[in-house]
Amino acid sequence: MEAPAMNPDHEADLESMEQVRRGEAAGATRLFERYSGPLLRFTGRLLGNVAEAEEVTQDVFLKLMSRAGQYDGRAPVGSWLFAIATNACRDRQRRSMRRPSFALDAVAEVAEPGVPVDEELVDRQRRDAVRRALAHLSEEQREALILARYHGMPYADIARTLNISEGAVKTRIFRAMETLKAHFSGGDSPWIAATH
Amino acid sequence: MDCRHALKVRELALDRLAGSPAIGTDEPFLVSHLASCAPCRAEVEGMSAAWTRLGEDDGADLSPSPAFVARTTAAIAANAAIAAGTQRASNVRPFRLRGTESPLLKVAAVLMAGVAGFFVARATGGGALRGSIAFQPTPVPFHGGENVALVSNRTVDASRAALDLSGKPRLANVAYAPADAAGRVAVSFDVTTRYTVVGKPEDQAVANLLVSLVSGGAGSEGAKGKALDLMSEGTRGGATVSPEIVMLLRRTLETDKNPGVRKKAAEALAQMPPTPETRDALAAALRNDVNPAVRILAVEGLARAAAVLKDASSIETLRQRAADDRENGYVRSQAALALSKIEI
Repeated sequence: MEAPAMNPDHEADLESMEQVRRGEAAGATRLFERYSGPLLRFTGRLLGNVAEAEEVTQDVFLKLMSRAGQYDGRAPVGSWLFAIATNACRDRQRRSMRRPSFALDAVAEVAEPGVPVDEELVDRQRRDAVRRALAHLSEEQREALILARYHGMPYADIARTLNISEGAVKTRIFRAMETLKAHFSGGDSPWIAATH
Repeated sequence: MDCRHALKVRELALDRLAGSPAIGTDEPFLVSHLASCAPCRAEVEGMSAAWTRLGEDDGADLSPSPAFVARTTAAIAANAAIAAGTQRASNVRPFRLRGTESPLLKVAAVLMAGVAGFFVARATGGGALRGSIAFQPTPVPFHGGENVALVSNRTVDASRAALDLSGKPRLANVAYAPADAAGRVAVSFDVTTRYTVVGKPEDQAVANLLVSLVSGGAGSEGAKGKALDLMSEGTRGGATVSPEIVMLLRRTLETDKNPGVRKKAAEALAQMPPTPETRDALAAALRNDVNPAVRILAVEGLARAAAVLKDASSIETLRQRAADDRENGYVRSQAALALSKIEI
């Protein structure tokens, strides 16, 4: 599991936010260093497209600078950034309903040096299979599940990020898992069936 | 499923998987129930398997690349610079005042306030007072170091400053306010001064001015369009472009509702010396803009970027667009044509 998105060093985040409020780029850069990875993985899994995920993640940090005055300090900075990212992804998905978007595997990736090509291929196939499964979920279920499963976010933080109740968070994750259980047990491709 | 605890068991199992403290005191119940109920056990095992399976997406392809980090940190720095510029502009006093130490001059300043001051100045031959505000049209200096602040509204406290009206400026739209409780009257007027800023588009003053015009300082869409045209012309010869301008054009492309304005922004970006930032802005426009004319310009810019930067991502973006049967036919053909001309 990835490192939790919620950073325990809340004080340091608040200090960075203060810098951002004062118009100092250093504050935004520190938050970028801390949260760009988790946010990129979050947006990438939501959107299914690396290029779009990078654009949205970059936008999150530019919005962080322009909206720093709106942050009231009640929620962790991480939750606030994830909330901005969630809304940006929703906007992007709404737009892409009118305009075509590309699948993750549409852009050829270069194998990492030192990793055998077949191993790299297997990893990528498995990853893509999981993302295809995630794509079967509703947007709302996907958001909640990704925050819980990949970012280790507690229900309360997910609720704050998505602006819903904790009960709704549990329901969304529960339904998502029911769908995925059925999807995985049904087998999603001959290749996957052969590797499990 | 027949077990009457099935729903509760599945919810508790999910709490356990998610590491939620909500499971609390129910953990022993869950363990004992699963030990004795085969259908529930099978359900929970299926759920656990799906949870584990999700872990096969390690997100390895979603780590921030050095190019992404460089691009975003540059964007953050450019945004901070723009914000700092705006803040400075709103704080800077438009005309430099020197302190008026002499009480005599202070009295003179009060007497000269507003229209009365105009006549007094004319009667005394128009000699400029030390510490006064000159409304004389001033040539705009563009040598380094001087900061010329332009503001649209300003209130002058006559108890602290004098007015130098020796240049006989034309006062228009004069309005008067009666005396307040402290006995102060107010006289408002407009003084028209035409500024001409001369410089290359990459000069900071010109760049800031163009950014301000495109960001809303221009009175009309036409003026905004002309500012964008100027950006295009200035960069056609391969001149360096300030990051503020690239950032502004990208923002314009993404947010401006007027397709004509977005088209000009795309045109300006397409004509700039290609950089990863301009390439990304054009690629985003090609993917997202609803207007085919904007997308065609993005295709042209990406073709240049592909030839100059020699990067695979521009070519791949063009290739995907050319192969996309949902895309406008003309955009597809332009993308295919651009690809055929790329020499790497």
